[in-house]
Amino acid sequence: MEKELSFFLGCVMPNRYPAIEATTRFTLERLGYTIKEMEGASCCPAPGVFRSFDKFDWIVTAARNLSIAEENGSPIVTTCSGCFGTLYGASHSLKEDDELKKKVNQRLKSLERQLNSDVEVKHVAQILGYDVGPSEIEKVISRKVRLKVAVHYGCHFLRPFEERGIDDPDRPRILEDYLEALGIDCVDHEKMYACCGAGGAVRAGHFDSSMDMLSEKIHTIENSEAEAILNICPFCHLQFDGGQQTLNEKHGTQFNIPVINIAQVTAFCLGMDDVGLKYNATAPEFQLEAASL
Amino acid sequence: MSDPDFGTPPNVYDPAKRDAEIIQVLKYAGFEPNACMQCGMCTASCLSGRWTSMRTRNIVWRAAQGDASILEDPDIWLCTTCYNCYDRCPRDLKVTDAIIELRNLATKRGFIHPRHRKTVGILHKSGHAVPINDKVKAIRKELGLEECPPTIYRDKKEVQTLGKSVFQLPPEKEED
Repeated sequence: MEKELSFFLGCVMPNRYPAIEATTRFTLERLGYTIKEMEGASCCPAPGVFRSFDKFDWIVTAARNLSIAEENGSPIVTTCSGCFGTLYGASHSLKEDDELKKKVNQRLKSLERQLNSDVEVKHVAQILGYDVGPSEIEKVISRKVRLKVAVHYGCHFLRPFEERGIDDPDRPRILEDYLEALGIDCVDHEKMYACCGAGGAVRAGHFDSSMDMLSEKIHTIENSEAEAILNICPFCHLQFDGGQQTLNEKHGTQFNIPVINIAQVTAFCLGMDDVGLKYNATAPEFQLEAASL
Repeated sequence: MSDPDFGTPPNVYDPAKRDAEIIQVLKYAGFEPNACMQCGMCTASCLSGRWTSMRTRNIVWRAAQGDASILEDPDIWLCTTCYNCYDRCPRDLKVTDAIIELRNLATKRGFIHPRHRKTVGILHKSGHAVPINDKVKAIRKELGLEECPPTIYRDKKEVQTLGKSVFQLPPEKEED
């Protein structure tokens, strides 16, 4: 029972990168979790775009999604840092503010929903990095992978720190510790903890600026020893994967860095051969390689 | 558009002319206007500011003075909400949340980018910010997933109900 999770899909993962969804399902089930669907869940809604238009409507829509998990009776797991930011943030605000909760429930009546208790929200990287942990994952994997990556933490997984409290956002270790247990070599690069440039309604509203910000990070990864970018968020994945194509078209660059999600690499180590990297727009021919033991 | 040399001062110094609503939303966000000492940590931490004309310090300066021009300034929409400034502000001011509140107020007054209106339209129509398409449906099938994920998208009526109840944007601001 305690290992049951309500799987919040969000938008980008199921509707653009379904391979991340397939590998996340595979990974969690192999690790002994039971996945419950969140029937009728909507967009989280995105913390940059929709929260900017109307913060109250944002929290109402988020509370509607939380109420679906409440009905399921299990904590939420999400693969997307944006969804995590919204659902965790909304859950946190509603927990601290009874007045707000009353107002939100008032509005939820018209959607025939109510939120009564606190719903726990977890990022899949938190489950893999902490709940399962490096030593445990090392015991259950069937093979290690030979790979040098530039780890991309993104923003909403760790920030704001006072709300998340997961790891030090300026010098985190959670992903490196976990990935090293899979045999992955995490290399330093200059803009290691920089944003991908997609969030905050910038990709939606000011695409060119979003690409400029991306270019800085991609450039430093290109100049590092990393063979691939390892991310924990489908929206960052979209920005890196599609963004490299855009940069190449726009500026004549030759970026071709494979983009891999944490679930894809974990699924590979748990025995899945085709983790769907061929559906990426950038470097679709790239394949993971098992490390010789 | 703020001046990239950080020099544009707020338009308002007369307290009587300040836009009280701006001050109010800053305080609501956890940004005490008088506590900001204009140190510039926010701008120094800002990725967007390295590539765009966005100067966080200038934005919060003008907002703290109640300068209403900040609401029309497209620069407030260049923040990626990475929360670097928020985590680093030495006065513990909630900078990112303040920018979100300024955007809320700008939206209320009709300053909304057409592309952002479009994004809201997509949510109203599909229940998602990024809707599914035929190509992805085919990939999902190949991967052994349900062709259409079990989300609100399957229930047209629920999408409509949700769409009618949230994010009803005000009409475009007419030029005076």
